This record gives sequence, structure tokens and C-alpha cells, in this order.
Amino acid sequence: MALVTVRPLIHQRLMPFFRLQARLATRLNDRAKGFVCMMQEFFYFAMRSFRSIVMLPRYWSDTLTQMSQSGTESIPIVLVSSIAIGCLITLEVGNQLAQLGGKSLTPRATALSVIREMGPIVTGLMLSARVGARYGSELGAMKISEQIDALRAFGTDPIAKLVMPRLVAALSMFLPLTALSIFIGLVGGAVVASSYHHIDSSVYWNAVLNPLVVKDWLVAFLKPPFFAIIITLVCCYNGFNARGGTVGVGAATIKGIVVSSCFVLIANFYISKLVLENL
Amino acid sequence: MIEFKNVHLQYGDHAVLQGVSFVIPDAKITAVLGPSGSGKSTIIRLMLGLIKPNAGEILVDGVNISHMKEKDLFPIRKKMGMVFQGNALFDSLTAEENLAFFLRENLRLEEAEIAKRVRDMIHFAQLEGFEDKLPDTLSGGMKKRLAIGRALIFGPSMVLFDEPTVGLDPLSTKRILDVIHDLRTDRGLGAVLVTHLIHDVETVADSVLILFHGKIVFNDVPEKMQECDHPFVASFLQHPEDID
Ligand SMILES: Nc1ncnc2c1ncn2[C@@H]1O[C@H](COP(=O)(O)OP(=O)(O)OP(=O)(O)O)[C@@H](O)[C@H]1O
Ligand SMILES: [Mg+2]
Repeated sequence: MALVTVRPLIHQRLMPFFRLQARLATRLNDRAKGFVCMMQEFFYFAMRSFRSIVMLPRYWSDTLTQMSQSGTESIPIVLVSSIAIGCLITLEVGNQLAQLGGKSLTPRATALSVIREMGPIVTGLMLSARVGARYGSELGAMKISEQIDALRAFGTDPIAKLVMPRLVAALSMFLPLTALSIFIGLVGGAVVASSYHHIDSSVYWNAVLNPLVVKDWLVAFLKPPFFAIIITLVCCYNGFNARGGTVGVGAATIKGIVVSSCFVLIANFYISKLVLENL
Repeated sequence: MIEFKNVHLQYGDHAVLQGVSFVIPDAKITAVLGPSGSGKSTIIRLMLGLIKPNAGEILVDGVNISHMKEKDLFPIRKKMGMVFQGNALFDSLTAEENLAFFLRENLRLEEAEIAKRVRDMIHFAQLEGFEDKLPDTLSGGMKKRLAIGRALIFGPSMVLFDEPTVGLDPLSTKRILDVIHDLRTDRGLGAVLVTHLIHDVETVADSVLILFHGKIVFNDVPEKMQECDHPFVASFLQHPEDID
């Protein structure tokens, strides 16, 4: 008998808690559903972007413009960041190795970190910021001013016209930019090696270039195409989904840069791991 | 002719349209009137197939476009010129290039033919002398006329206007409404005129649909609005400036 009266009381007391729990569950459910829908949409967006590469001849001039804007105009920032990284790595690694009595290993250590990791990753992050910001804000502004809808309303596929040229431009320009970044990083390393660690230039370059194997180049040059795909698709997708005026364009741009930078870092790790483990 | 049959549209848990049905005849000016956020632009976007309804059918000249694929929609869209709320002109292209853009993109025409059509359209939009100007350097009325010119570039039979007179001075407003009127009388073009201004409706519309809380609450000739006993319509007619 007592149980019968106590039970509703407990129930009543706990009701707000149950309600909160239910609300939380609904929210989480909505979030999860939203996330799955977004992933589905993104996948479809990516498929359409790749499929529209068949229309490259038609949008050749747009592609050339994008190549110059995202490729040629990115050279200064790639130069500055890679020379800084090259110098810094040689300085720090050289100091550490000197303490262990292995200063002569400095060039090899510099070469490995610049070629395999720092060159591609610094380029990837710089391009994520520079090129990704450009893609996200341009397309976001076009979205909120209804220019993307206008394209569709008058029969032009906005993905073929706007995303595909950017994708092709990034795919073709990121590789040479990474090569340039690696070269300049190594040059920066050479300067510090000779001026600070007193390692002769010819010794440095011999130690850098001779032990290099195919695997090192493979790690370096497999990464840029993946970065190009990640940066272009993530930033363009966010631009295409911008909503809510100028604030919305800002938010879409930031989201594009943050998400693509994270994926660049993750992709970098897995590509290195895969190649180094399997070759 | 455009027909909506029991169309529902929902964004998340916000139901924008809740069972909307109406017919928009050819060669007539039909106004869609409603407060801000009532779904007027949404209706126009549905007509073009830019968004899909959650339920119901949208027929354009008898063809159901509610589930049509993007590439099959072009012939339908070609029949309808669209003038966007904010014009949606390409800001990196000159006035002339804005007009030529979709001709180059979607029709296989000789350059001479494109130039001729663009010249005609510049003349129609009264933009002679401004061919090489970027949209940002044009006045509000000029931009709107350029957007109307672009909407007519494929020779549509119906033009969709999304709030064409908002933000324009009285003189430009009159000019734009004259253009809409002349398109019907001189060229026999139908129009859908989305607006929240009673003045636009009274000046040019042949019939008017009033949208309120996701439903059509009035669908008749403008003169009959006075007789409508729906509370929103009555209060709107008394205080048209407080529509929102
Ligand atoms: N992509 C979207 N996602 C979520 N909600 C949306 C989206 N587009 C429109 N809405 C919402 O749908 C409603 C109707 O929007 P719509 O633009 O059709 O209104 P409107 O009548 O044209 O208003 P206005 O007079 O301000 O132009 C609004 O409440 C708007 O916030
Ligand atoms: Mg609107």
C-alpha cells in the first residue's frame, strides 16, 4: 500500500529531470540527424564537383583565372612561411644534435622534416587560410546576394561554373606550390646551417639530397592533391550554404577554414603513416 | 500557366507554406501580397524549381516540376524570367556582359546575334551609355531595369518579380510598374508580382493572392479586397504601412 503512494511521489519529484532528459535526447537526435543530412549533402556536392570536370573545356577561362588567383598569387605567402620554417627547424634541430655530438646529422634531419612534413603541411595550412578564405567568402557573398540562385534560374549549373574551376585550379597549383615550399625551406635550412652551425653548403646539400628515396618524395607529393580537394570542397560547400547576411558570409568562411585546416592536419598524418608503413 | 496544388513547405520545424493552392493564368499580372517572412519569395523559388516542396504539386503549363531533376528544369525555367529581390546581378561583369552572360552560357548563338539581342535589351532597359558600367555604379532603378532586361533575355512568357519596387524612389517605382504593365499590354507577357506594397497591387495587378501564416487567405481581383472579411486583410487595408 505504502509503495503505491510513494511511487507517484518519486515520479513527480523526478519529472523535471525526465523532461530535461527527453529534451536533451531530442536535441541530440536532431543534431545527429542534421549531421547525417549534412554529410550526405556534402558527399553529393563532392560527387557533382568531380563529375562536372568533364565540362572543363567550357569553363577553361574561369579555371585559368582561378589558377592565377589561387596559385600564382599564393607564392609570396608560401615563400615567407616556408623559409621561416626551414630556418627554424635547422636552428633548433642543429642545436639539439650538437648537444648529443651529432651535428653532422642536421642536414638529414632538416631534409626529412621539411620534405615529408613541414613543407606540405605549412603549404596546406597557408593555402587553407588564403585560398579557402577566398573561396568561402566569394561564394558566400554570391549565395546571399542570390547570384548562385540566378545561375540556376537561368540554366547554368553553379557547381560546374563556380566549384569545378576552383577544384581543378587547386589540384593543379598546390603541387608546384608545395615543391616550391620544400625547395625554399631547404634553402633557408642551408643558410642557417652554414651561417649558424658552420656546416659547409656542399656538405649540407650532399647530406640532404643523397640519402633521399622515392618514399620521401611520395609522402611529400601525395599530400597536396588531397589538401586541394579538402580545402576546395569544404570551403566552397560552406560558401554555398551561407545564410543570414554579411554575418553569415563571415561565419561560413570561418567554418570552412577551421574545418578544412583540421582535415588537412588529419589527412597529413594518415598519408604519412600509410606511406611510411607500407613502403 | 502555373498551378500550385496543396503545396506544403517546411524549414526544420518552421512550416512556411501549409497547403497552398492557386492558379496563375498566362498574360495576366498576378500579385502575391503578404507580410515579411510569410513565404512570398519561397513561392517564387518553388515556381522555378529552385527549392522542392515537402508535399503537393507544382505544375507549369501542365508539367509537374515538383520532383524534376535540375537538368530537365531548364526548358521550364526558360519560359520564366526571374527578377530577384536584390537583383542578383553579377557584380564583376558590366551591364552589357550581365545581359550577354546567359546567352553565351546556354544558347549556341553567333556573337553577332548575341550583340544584337544585348543591344535591343539595353535599349529596352533605357541603359544606353551605361553598357560598360559595373552594376555597383548604377542607380537602384537602373539596376532593377538591368535585372528586368536580363530576365527577358530568353524571351520568356512569364516574368517573376520579387519585390521589384522596394527601396526605389517614387519616380523609379512608377517607371518599373510601367514596364511591368507594358510587358503585358505590348508583349502579352504574364507576371507574378511579389510585394508587400498595396500601391503596387492597385496600380498594375489583375488579380491578387494574399498570403498569411502559410495559407492563401484571399484570391480574387484587387477591387474585391474591400469585401474580404478575413481579419488580416481588413486590418491590412486599414493600415497598409503596418503590414508586418
Ligand atoms: N533556407 C532557409 N532555411 C530556413 N529558413 C528559411 C530559408 N529560407 C527562408 N526561410 C524562412 O522562411 C520564411 C519565408 O521566407 P521568404 O524569404 O519566402 O519570406 P518573404 O515573404 O519573401 O519575406 P520578405 O518580405 O522579407 O522578403 C522566413 O521565415 C525565413 O526565415
Ligand atoms: Mg522575399
